[in-house]
Amino acid sequence: MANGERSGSLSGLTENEAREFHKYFMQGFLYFLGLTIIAHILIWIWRPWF
Amino acid sequence: MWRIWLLFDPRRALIAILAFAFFMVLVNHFVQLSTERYGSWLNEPAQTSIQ
Repeated sequence: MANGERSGSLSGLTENEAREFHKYFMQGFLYFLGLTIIAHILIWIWRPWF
Repeated sequence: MWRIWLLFDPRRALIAILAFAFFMVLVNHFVQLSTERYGSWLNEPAQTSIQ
């Protein structure tokens, strides 16, 4: 491979790459979660479901 | 938690997660459209909430 296969992990990522990807993954997930919560609040204001 | 990316390739994992999320969102919206309470948001004039 280009960067030399030394990671030894199943996915081929090194520890640092995995940590870095996880940081961005969690950031994206929290944005998604925030939007979802806002959407549900707006819907609740429109028509509560309980 | 980050160790998951030592097991699963992020590219394939992302594609799988996004496909699954899209499927779930599709199903949920159609389920809501089929309900009596929420199933009218496409074909009704803007009205206040049902009393």
